[in-house]
Amino acid sequence: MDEKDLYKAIGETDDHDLQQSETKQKSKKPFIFIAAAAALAAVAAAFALPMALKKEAPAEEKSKEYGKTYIAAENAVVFPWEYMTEAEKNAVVFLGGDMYVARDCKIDPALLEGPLGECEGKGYDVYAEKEYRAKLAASKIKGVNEKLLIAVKVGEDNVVYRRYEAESPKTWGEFYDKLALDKNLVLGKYAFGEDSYRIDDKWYELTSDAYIKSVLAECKNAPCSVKSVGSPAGGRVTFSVTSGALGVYKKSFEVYDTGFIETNIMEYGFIFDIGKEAAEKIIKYAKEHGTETEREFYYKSVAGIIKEIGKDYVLIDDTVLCKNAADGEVYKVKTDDIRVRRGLEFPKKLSVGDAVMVEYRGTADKNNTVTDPVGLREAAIYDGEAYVQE
Amino acid sequence: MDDNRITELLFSRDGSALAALNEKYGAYCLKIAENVLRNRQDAEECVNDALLRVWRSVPPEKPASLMLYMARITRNIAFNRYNENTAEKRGGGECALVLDELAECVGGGGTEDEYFSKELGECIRGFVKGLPVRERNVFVRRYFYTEPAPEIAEKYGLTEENVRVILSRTRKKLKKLLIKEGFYNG
Repeated sequence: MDEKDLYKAIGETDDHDLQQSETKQKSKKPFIFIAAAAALAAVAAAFALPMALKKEAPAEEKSKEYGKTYIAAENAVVFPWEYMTEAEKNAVVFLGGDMYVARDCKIDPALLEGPLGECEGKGYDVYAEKEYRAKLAASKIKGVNEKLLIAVKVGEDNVVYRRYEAESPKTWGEFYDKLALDKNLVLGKYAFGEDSYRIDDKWYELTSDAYIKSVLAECKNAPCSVKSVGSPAGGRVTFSVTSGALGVYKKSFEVYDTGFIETNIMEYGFIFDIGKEAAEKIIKYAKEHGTETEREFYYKSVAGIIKEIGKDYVLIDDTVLCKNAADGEVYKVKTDDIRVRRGLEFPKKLSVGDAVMVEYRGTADKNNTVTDPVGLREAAIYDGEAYVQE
Repeated sequence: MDDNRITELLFSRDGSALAALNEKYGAYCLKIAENVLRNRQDAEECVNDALLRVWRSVPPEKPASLMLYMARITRNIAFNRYNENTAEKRGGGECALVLDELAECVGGGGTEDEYFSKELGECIRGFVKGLPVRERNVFVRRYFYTEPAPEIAEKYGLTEENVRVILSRTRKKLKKLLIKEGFYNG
């Protein structure tokens, strides 16, 4: 092996790590708005720092010494049509000449306001090389402007779709009102960062975000205008935002002590200049009223060796990842969700003895049953650590 | 144009996909190729070759990120061109410096087989992923994107000296790992 082999091998660096390296740290000039799709990922990456390896032993198992688990952020597997979810099959829909793209979130029917009419779903079956079109029912989401987000019935569920190439808001007030953020912005766990580059390990939560939202409601004239390439400078507090009505899961809402707020709840990173006074009020409140809590991870995961595959479940033994074998436990993961089942069957059929990793949004209950799994992928285990490649 | 739309055009064999790709990522890839080659004309040819390769490979491939997919292809093409140029004594530039630095981590010797390359790639991937964020970013900018240290320093608000120290420490870590994993006898 020589240095050229090594240089070539560095070409195998994971997409996520390449993408994350695109994030600039600007320490001098404040920036306002990020428009390009590439830069958008940079915003996500800034929040994703603590989630970069978005891996964690199940919450209940923190006491045991657990090997690290790594997972590629991007999954390059293109599933055959029969393994795709309804939202994946209808990756885009067209309503009134506007194109909307699916967000990875179902929406509770109680959050719908009324029908918007029929839209056309469009997808592409890569393996059969066939375009797929379907007539679907679109609905308005309560209080949310339909030129930004709509709900579409795909299969049994309603899924949130985001308008592609929607106009950028001119002010925070426009953004706030069109998305009904008074109701739909729920500030979750948060952490502080001394600059726009790193985030602390300690995480906090508030019993109520009402005060912060009242401050934000007073900033409606805050402009959003300048195109840029990076996040604002300054120390910050980063909140996790999950909203059923907006179809977002653990996006970020950041407040910088230099007077800016930045959020990626509409994918593109929007930055608004709310002024130092308002920003400092919010940060001060968060510092004084938060109670320390468990760190926020994007997904939790369980990894190990398949012990049994049942009709609608799989048992996964994580002993291989435990420093002390006696700490090993068996987790039950339901496979009735196609996103889990397809991982067992494609690209190859997995069987007992294979290593896998399951990501989930829910919990691992006292019986070690994992709730709300979002995917299962084959893993490789080396030296007590689990890896899932792209 | 949105990546999904460009991918749709590629899948429907619509030539406008290449124009859209070039418009969106051409400059980004040109920079990558120029970092390796330090020659504008060669770099432009690399980007054209990369576009052609994307046209041939998508479909059947469906990259998760067109930008990074093009980045990898461009880097590979540029590095092959660099090797040809080196054979013709037209190498040098930033890539030569990068290779000199990487030579600290390896023992020299001939190119290994495909299996070895795959294993090494996986090892490097895991290594990069395990680095702290700042070190990882600096390492990636230097050894994937072949960027000069001052540029990396500017990007992350570091001094050039900081960057050099970070790179030096990271190379030492990498060397240790390569020895431990049996890629290099030390």
